[in-house]
Amino acid sequence: MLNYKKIKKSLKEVRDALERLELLEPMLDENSSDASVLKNSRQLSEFTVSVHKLIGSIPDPFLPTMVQSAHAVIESKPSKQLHSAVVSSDVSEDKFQALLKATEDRLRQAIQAELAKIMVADAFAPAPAPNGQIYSDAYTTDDAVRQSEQRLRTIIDSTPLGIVITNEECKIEYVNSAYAQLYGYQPSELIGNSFTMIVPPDKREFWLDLHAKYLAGYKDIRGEWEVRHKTGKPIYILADAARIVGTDGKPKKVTFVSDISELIKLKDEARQSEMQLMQAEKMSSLGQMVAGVAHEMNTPLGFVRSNMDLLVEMFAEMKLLLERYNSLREEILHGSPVSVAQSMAAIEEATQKFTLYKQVDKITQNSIEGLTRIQELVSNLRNFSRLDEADFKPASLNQLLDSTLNIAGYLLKEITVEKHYGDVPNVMCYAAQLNQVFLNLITNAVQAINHDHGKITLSTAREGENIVVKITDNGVGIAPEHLNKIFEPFFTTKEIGKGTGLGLSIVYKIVEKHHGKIHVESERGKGSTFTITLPIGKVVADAESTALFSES
Amino acid sequence: MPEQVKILFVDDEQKVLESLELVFRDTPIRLATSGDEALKILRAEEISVLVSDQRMPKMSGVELLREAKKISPHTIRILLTGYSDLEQVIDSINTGEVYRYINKPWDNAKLRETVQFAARMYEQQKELRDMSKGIKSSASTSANDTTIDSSIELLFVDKNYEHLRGLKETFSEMRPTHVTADVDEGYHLLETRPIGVVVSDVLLNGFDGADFLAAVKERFPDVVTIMMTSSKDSSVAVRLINEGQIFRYIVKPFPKEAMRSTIDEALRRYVLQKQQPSQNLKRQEQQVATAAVASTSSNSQSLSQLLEEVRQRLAEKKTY
Ligand SMILES: Nc1ncnc2c1ncn2[C@@H]1O[C@H](COP(=O)(O)OP(=O)(O)OP(=O)(O)O)[C@@H](O)[C@H]1O
Ligand SMILES: [Mg+2]
Repeated sequence: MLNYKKIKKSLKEVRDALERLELLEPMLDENSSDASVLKNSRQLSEFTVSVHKLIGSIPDPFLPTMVQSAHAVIESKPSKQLHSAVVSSDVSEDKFQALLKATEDRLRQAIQAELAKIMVADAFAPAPAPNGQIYSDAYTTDDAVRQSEQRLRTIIDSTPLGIVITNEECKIEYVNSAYAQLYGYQPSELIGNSFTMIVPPDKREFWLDLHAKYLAGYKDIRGEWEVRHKTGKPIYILADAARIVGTDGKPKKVTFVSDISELIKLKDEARQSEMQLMQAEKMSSLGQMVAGVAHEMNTPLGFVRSNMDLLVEMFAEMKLLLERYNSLREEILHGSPVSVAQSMAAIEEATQKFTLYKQVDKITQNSIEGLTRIQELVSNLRNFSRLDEADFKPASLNQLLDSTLNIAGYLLKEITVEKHYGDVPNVMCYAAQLNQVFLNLITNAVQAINHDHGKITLSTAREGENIVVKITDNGVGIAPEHLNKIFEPFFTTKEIGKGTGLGLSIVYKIVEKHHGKIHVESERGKGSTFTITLPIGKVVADAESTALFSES
Repeated sequence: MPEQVKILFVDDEQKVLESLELVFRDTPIRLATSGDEALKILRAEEISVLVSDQRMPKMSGVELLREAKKISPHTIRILLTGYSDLEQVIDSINTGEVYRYINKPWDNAKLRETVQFAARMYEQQKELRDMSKGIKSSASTSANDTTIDSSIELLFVDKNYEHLRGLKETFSEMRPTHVTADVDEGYHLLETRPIGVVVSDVLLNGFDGADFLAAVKERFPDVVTIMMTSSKDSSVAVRLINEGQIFRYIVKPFPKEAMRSTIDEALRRYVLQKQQPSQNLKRQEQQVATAAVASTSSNSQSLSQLLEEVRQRLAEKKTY
């Protein structure tokens, strides 16, 4: 039965696949400054070593099919993801670990499944072919067969892999203890019943159909499935199956399952933490901006609203005065000297209280200025977000810098801003994203300044087919040992709550997306300059992307 | 009538000050456009209430409050701010011990009521201080260095049993410590045991922890309250200041040692307030309020009755 040529071939295939994984490593430049890439590559090589060990531990006779499934695993999704994660290295540490573990688990499970499959097929096979024995060719008597069978059953019952045999009527004929345990049943509760008791109620038809098709000889059921625990709670399994002929001569399906609920949970968590990361990304720059703008806006809103209240008060005072004048007139025309005197006193009192009118000019003038400021803030916000504009289009970097300065106005109250804008052509870009880049850099510059003669210089210039933007501050500067870390996500020297360490990693990503470059020069105590080089890019003619008439 | 003590307003926006000047045209006030300027005034003059903006260049409002507390500890501190993120609100509780947290834009009438109310509290505190000065002069220093009476008990209310167990373990060796997930039980304990400090989470079973702490403070003004939570909501924190006069706001997870010293501080505060009621803002507030309107609160009532009453009182309140 064992074809050693074939084994060797399969073995080679696995080694090749592994090598391909290993081949990734040199792609991760060892001299790269990016520490996370280095770390990933180190972990990857540890992983390949452990896979080698795993394969080394497989007893020889079982190799071929196992090698095949190992191969399949290496080709499978988690390891593909792992591959791309390693290459792009823009994946979080947690996610990377999870993928690593997922791939390794997959491999182990696949190998176990193959192991069991061979053993079961062998145990339930009618009579062994004369010269096809795997374990030894010394035994030929019934005794030996029974002994071998006994041994296999022991192995089967102690493997952590769940094994179930179902017949043509979809009835469960055999389960090992691992299988029963996985679903929370006693073996006796399962044997003799339809296997549909462990699948989700709404999937019963599907499973009956699949089962029949499988026994009829086609349809693969290898894969991840959701099934039901005795308690009704969903669990996730990795299943594989084999067709055998039972001792009664009828076809049976042997299914091998392992619990991958943990794995699924892990993957979910990884996905979730990735989402949180993205959320945090949005929060760090946006959150700061919202806080700044809200404060900027609420300040004029504060005094305008207060002034309106004051005007209302003033009108109430005025109304009172008018009413009293009216009653004085009445008293003069129809009343007595005493009542006239009383009215006069009342007017006197109201007049004394009537003081706000002297401030009316100031109140209204301040209010109008406040409203103008709110108006400007709103239009700055619009310019900054550019929500109403197409994503990728030509824009003036000088204008973008200006609208960012406007929005960051609250940060710059104490700081001199110098602009050296060159006469530069428009650049093809995602304007809103470049605004974020500038906002993050300006925010960092402001935060680096710890004295009261702060200065930030912005310059733009054309250099060949590129525009170069420089943002210079005279702040604390960056320690040389930090220079190659500052673009890493979560690297921050700021106190908790002040910085998330995402600003520059976002900047890096956006610049990269524009096929641009960013670099930094810095001297402790003197300041830092961030230089961004962006290709001007070709203006895509409108007609190429958009038809003139729409089809009605 | 003696000259009224002045109120100090601080804002880097001149126009805000100009409006406030008119709002408080019948009250003696001082104005400052920066924290530094404000501190100078605080050093030179007696100030009853300090109202400051939060976001100002150089020195933030919370920083100003913290410094002001050192220079003039009895001045009542209020923040009037354009934007409140949780961090700032928590800071203002934990380091500035702010009396009110008011958002811009504000309502003139309400602001006037609040500030004048605070000024009256200040005057009353001062009278009480003057009185107790005559009786015993050493009392004010003793609270800080004596060990705290071990009969004062602690209460923790949280829906997380794991946390409750940890808290019980940490504190029961030092003094009687009660933990419960049941708000009614917590309330019952407050009525029957000599509890000095209550620590609660925001999310209790079927209850809003902020409401609970506000009610506790209303009924047992001497008890020092602490919010300890992992939920991050600045509006809850603002409510805890304005309605519950919370002592500390702690974000879980929190280092054990810091937790110990926070509870220690809270216990000291409890002792101090017992010795010198003038130190208790909530008591002052209640006294000023009852002097204005003769409202009688019944003595024995259930927690839900109390909550109802507190909610109603808050809804009718003319101040922030
Ligand atoms: N202009 C600068 N001057 C000095 N140090 C800087 C400057 N820009 C960045 N850095 C350093 O690089 C680190 C990372 O910056 P990054 O913008 O990524 O994060 P952050 O500013 O700390 O936090 P966040 O931007 O998320 O609020 C900073 O903590 C700081 O140490
Ligand atoms: Mg930053």
